Amino acid sequence: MEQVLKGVPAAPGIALGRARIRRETGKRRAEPRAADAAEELAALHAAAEQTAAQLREIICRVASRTSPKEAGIFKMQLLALEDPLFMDAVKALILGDCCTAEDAVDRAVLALAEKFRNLDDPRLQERAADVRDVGQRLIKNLAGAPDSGQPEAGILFAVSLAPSEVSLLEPTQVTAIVTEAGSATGHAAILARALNICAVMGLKDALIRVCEGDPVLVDGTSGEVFLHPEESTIESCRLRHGREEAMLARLAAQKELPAITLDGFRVELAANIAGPRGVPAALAAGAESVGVVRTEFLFLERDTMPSEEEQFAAYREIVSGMAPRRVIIRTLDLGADKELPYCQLARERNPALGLRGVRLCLRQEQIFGTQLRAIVRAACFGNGAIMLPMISDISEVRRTKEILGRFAAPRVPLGIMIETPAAAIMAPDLAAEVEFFSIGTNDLVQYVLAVDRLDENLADLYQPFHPAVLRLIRAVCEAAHGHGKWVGICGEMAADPRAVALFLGLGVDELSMDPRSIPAIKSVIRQTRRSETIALTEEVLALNNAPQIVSRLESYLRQVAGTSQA
Amino acid sequence: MVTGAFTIINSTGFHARPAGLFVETASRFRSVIKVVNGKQSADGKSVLGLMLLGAKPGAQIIIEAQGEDEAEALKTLAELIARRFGEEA
Repeated sequence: MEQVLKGVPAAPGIALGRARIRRETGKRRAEPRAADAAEELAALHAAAEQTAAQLREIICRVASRTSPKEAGIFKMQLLALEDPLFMDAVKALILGDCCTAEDAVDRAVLALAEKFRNLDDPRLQERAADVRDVGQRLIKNLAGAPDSGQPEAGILFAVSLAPSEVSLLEPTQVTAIVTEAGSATGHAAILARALNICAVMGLKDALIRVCEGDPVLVDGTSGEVFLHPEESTIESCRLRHGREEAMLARLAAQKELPAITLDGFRVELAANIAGPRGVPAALAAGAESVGVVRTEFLFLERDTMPSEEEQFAAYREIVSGMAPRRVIIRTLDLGADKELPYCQLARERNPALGLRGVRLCLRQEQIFGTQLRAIVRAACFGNGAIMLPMISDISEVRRTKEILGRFAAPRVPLGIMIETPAAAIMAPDLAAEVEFFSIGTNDLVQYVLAVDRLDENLADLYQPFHPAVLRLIRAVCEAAHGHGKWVGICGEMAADPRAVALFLGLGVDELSMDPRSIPAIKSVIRQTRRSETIALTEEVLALNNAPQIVSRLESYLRQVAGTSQA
Repeated sequence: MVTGAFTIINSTGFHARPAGLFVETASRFRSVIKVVNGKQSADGKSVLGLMLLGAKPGAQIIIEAQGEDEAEALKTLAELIARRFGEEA
């Protein structure tokens, strides 16, 4: 019967085949060599030379099959093998503690791996796996055991696979790997991706559940492993995989193209992300910048406030990962609807109208100052900017500028979100204070229409295309451009294909959205003529109700899509 | 002996690849090279030692070189750090 196991997706793709299980052989020489340390040292020396030769061969092999970057993993292992910190420890154990060479290597590796595990950088912690890889290879060579041969064609199951073991796999034979240990960021996973072998890792008890020769379907994209898969599962997995491939191909084809109208008006398409992990997705989708980094991810679900260093490290990773593209970091946007154990907030009757966003930050100046300092420090690792949420009064901008003015650091561009009616109406004055606006449509709609956007009973009253909202957005765009500042849209409307014509007509400079929406919005922009949208926007803004506006925009969108297909 | 203080500005700090490059470069010189990060120090020709310093981007490290080619060694290593270990901008 079909059984589904879920692990960590480590290398994408699907593979169908028979399970091939590799069990740890743990071959160990039982008897110590004759007696004296000299012989152990000689054995160690010979094994180290053999290991170095094998690693050099792996380096050549990997460099020719993948790229110099992956080969670098084994260059590091070679350096580690010859490293005095490692070799001197092994020799000392042989000479001082009368260990066999195998035991000495084992103990030295354990001690080193422990040191790596104690580092606070997760990516460095994983280098413990490389140290163990070198150690295992040395021990195998000491025992005179050959490299594990090429497994039978199929799907390789193992407790864990060392990077060098993965590098030796033949992708035409081993179409997928499943391991109990490991993670998506480890060197074994990096190599699997480079070799196009799909992989699921961190799947506990995998070896207990599977039997040699079982039919297995591996989905390295979702992290699912199906034992004895049904025909229907295989079929739906293949279909999904086909769609993903097609989407990736479309993305790739469009990725480098600008979001430009048929008559040459260019819009910047940006990504909304919530942490360093969003960077690869943003780049893959062809984002030209990051329009909003939601920094709440750093603050939620923890007992203590994130330190300046911790915040700096996260912001810097995003800013340098996107460089030279712009990255707009939004300061903490929380309110009383979220629990922060380290910052007691009074209960509020109506959190949406309460102490949230910049209001909260200005009351908790220590939290705010720390965050601003971390952003300012990170900004120079690329092109960083600061954005303040929930502005409703000009004094909030000025007080923030005062705090920023106290830092002895280069100036970082400052912008604000326009999401309260007060900010939208005061836009001409606010535009003089900041470098840019980003209109947060989700909140702006709720505040302009006085409709709680989380209340399902009011869903029909929550109308993003309400003329009151659209006319206010027009006023904000005019205010920004009147002061020579740029204006963007973040919020769900930015990713709504129906709104594209409207934003083009208003001359919006940037649209920031979930990276997955970028390709669709880009293709609409590339099929539209801005000259037409200006007239359309005039026409639509003269209407007095949302249903008419939506129907007009929808018919225009159909017309645009229709002409491009003809 | 010559010494210099430098800020690590590449995106990952002393990770596997940058540490490897540092060791390769340092090993071209006869001088003894020491790298200090806060209270910890490491042999500049030991890739494990350098990684175990846990020097993150933004960290201030001190390099000490002692030997016949110390000045040249320090200059070359400083350039490597300034070039972000060859990382793309």
